[in-house]
Amino acid sequence: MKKIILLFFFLGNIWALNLNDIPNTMQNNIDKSLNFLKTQKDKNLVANEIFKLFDDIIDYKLMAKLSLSKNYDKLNKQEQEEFSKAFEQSLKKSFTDKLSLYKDQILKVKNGELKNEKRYFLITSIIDNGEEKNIIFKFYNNNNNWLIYDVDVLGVSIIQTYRSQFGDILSSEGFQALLQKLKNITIK
Amino acid sequence: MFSKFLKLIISYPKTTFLGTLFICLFLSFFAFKISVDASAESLLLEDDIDLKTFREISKHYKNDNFLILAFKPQDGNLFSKTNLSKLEKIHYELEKAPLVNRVFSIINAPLLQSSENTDFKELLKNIPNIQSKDINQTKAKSEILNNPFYKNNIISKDGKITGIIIYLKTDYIYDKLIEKRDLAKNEKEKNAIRLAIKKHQDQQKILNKQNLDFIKNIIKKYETNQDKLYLGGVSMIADDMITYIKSDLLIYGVSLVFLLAIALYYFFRTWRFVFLPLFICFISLSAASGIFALLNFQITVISSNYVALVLIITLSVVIHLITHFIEISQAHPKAKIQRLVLQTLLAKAKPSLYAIVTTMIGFCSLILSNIEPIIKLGIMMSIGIGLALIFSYLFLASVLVLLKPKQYYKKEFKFNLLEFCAKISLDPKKRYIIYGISCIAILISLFGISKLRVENSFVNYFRDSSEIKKGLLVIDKNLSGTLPLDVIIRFKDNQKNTDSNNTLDSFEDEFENLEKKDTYWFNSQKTRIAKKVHEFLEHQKFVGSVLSLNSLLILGKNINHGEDLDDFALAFLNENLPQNFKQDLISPFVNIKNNELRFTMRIVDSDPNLRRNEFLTKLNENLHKLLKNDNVQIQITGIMVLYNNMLQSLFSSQFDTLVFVILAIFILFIFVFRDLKFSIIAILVNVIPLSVVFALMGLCKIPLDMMSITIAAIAIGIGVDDAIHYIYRFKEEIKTKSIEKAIINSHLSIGSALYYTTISIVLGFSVMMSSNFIPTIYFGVLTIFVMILLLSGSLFLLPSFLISIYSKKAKIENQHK
Repeated sequence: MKKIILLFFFLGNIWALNLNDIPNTMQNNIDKSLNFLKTQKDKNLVANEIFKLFDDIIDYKLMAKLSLSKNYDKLNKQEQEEFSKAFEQSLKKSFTDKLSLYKDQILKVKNGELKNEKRYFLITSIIDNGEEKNIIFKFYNNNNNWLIYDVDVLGVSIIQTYRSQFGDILSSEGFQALLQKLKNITIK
Repeated sequence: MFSKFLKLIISYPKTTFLGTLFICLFLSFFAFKISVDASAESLLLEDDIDLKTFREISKHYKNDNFLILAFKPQDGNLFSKTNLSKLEKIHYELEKAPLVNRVFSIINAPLLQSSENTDFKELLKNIPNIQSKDINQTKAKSEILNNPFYKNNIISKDGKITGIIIYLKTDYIYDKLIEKRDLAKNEKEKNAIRLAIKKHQDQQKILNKQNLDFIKNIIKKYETNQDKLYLGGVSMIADDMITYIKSDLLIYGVSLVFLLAIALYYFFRTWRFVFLPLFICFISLSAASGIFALLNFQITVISSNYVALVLIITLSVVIHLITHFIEISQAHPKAKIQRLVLQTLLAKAKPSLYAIVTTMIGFCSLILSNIEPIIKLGIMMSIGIGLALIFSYLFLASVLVLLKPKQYYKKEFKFNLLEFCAKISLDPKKRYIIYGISCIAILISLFGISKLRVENSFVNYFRDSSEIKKGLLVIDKNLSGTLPLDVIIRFKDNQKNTDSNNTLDSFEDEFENLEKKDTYWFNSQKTRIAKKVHEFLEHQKFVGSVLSLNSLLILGKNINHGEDLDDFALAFLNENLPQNFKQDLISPFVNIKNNELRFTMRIVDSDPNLRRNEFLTKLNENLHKLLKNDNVQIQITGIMVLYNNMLQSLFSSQFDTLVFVILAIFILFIFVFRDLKFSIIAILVNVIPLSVVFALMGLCKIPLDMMSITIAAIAIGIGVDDAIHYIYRFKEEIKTKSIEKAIINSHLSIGSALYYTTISIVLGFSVMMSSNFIPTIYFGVLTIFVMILLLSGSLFLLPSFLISIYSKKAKIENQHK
């Protein structure tokens, strides 16, 4: 049993993303993703490939927690799980829907900023119609495994916009309505 | 003492005349400097909390003050090449007007769905309008007609009339001065700033006039027989009011001279008693105006009435003096003129003084109103009539002595109306009919007064034939209202999350800080509330156009293939929209710094069913109900609220004012007559006619407005003069004569003076009916009506009461004997 646990930790350490590796790993994953986009027409397949690349780096559960803010703790265990699941699906659905908008833009890792010992912002730039725009991947340190907890698209934090949206739905319509709407909410 | 003074001035008539004339001319010199202020704010309550809110909120949003120019082409095809080109010319010429900040019309209205270019990001970079090259004209027409910002705002529903919104430059200096005045520590400092405000307003008035003239010239240039242009807006209303006041003042002056001259000649048949009263009236008026100019008083819509009022009251004083003078001249044809004059002045001193003091009390009661122009009218009238009494005495004392004595004449009625009135009161049966009519009048009054209401409709202030009314009606009916009204929804700051959750604390702090950024101000809560309030307002009766953040959301939804914009899209748009687009479509409705949303409405002012106070109260109540769970503050603000506050405050203080006037006059009556019964009947003969007039207004659904609301105080003030003069004379007569003889003598002597003064006042106020300003017309008509009723009260009811009292007294005395 102890061996199994040891093996688990060992494997965990193998897949853990170190701070110094973030730019390279991200650029690699991005390049691979863009390559899928160029070669594969079925956007659902492309999306699945991309998710495979990023799933280990993105902390969907934390994102779900953060998007509910203080309301998350008010939910019971079952509701929390239900919500986390629905949130991840919604986020992925939004992403998949947006893939059709891709038109050969190039996404390049520009630089990273260590905000404090637990936060690292990776700034990538996209050239769209000759204009440079930033997409920032926000990482946090999870026991030396750096994971994405938010993405800033052209100056707008996805999690922040979810927080206000979910907060309002919860206060005016309740949890079930939020779950229902989550199935329809996609980032425009 | 007083008699010695009169003897002195009668002994030196030339010095008295020249001295008085010099003082009058000196004061009159300043009269030319008196200015007219008809700005909307001139009528507001200075310490109104809503006014402070209104000014504060005006600072939060740009382009608050605007004019609307409606363009109605004859062919009804607004989008034809010819009409669009004409509209374009008008649009660009308007931009050159001196006080114009920005012009917004279908010419420069952004179009997002009519371009051949469908890339939204591209569109935002260079937002097209109807003049852009790649615009599809058919789509453009449809977009303009259906755009939530444009339909009912700059284009009528049927697409046949377009409105050009002319945003005027904000007067920052005025705003700063007002702020300074409100912050001033003492009254001295406040007064100094008030002077600076007045000086600034004077300059601004000239600029405003130039600006409006510029715009009116453009209208003249482009208005043909076929195509019509109509201008409306609050500053336009103010400018037209100034024009009307000025023309009214001129008409009052000129017409009064003719009407009064005819009346005076008819009564006295000598030119000297035509010119002398008129001279005294006008010189007193100009001297009083000089004093008002020195006191920095401005003539407002309300206080402009002082011209007619001072003239009329002065005339009333002079007529009483002249009538008495003629009477004693006829009685003592051989007496020396100095003696006759002295006797006249002494005999009339007390009743004239009491009459003027009661009138002054009537006007002073206006000071309790808390409304600047009405307070000013009270002060102006009190000063004016005080001066009128002094100058009448000084001029009459000197001029009558200086003039060559002659046989004076007083109009005697062939069918003696006055004797007829006296006999009716003397007949017991008819007297009971008079009491019966009075009781019915009281009952009708109680019912009618309960139906009274106050209303302030700018559109209905002008005659149907006036250009401004036509314009306001076109804009009101086709472009959804003329009267701006705003609803402000202020969000309370979110409570900081205090629930401790160690693992998430640092993230919570991070996002709470992020939330404070302007980018995230637009969120679901705000858009939900914006939608809820917008839709609620749209469905309110009397609300014409509604514009708000929700208009942008509807526009966004249209562009977004019918799907609502979510928080991400809103934040994204806020971060990435071009500045000019934001200025047009977001900043008028959103103030991120103050955490508030603004819903701008235009109210259909011409709707006859609109009860402003009820409408505003219900709107406020319903908005609070609608948003009770949303943790927001709600404020309704705008000129409409301020005018309503002014009128409501006036209406509620009306009762206090009247009670004050009646009590004050009653106390004075007790002092004058030294008899409780006389005092009570003197009050009754004034209050009953006055109540009938208000009842009539209530029954005829004539709303009280800022002018007619002053009728009570004015009428009581003038009306009690009749009662004082009559009772005073009656008390003199009854000392030596029987009751019948005393009544007939009082009627024939004082009755004629009352009759002359009422006729003169009626003639004077009838001039007001020529005004273009409806409240002035109502004011004139109602005052005439109340004056006739007051005269009837003095000639029928008063003698009836006196006879009843004396008959009872006589009965008791006989029983004792």
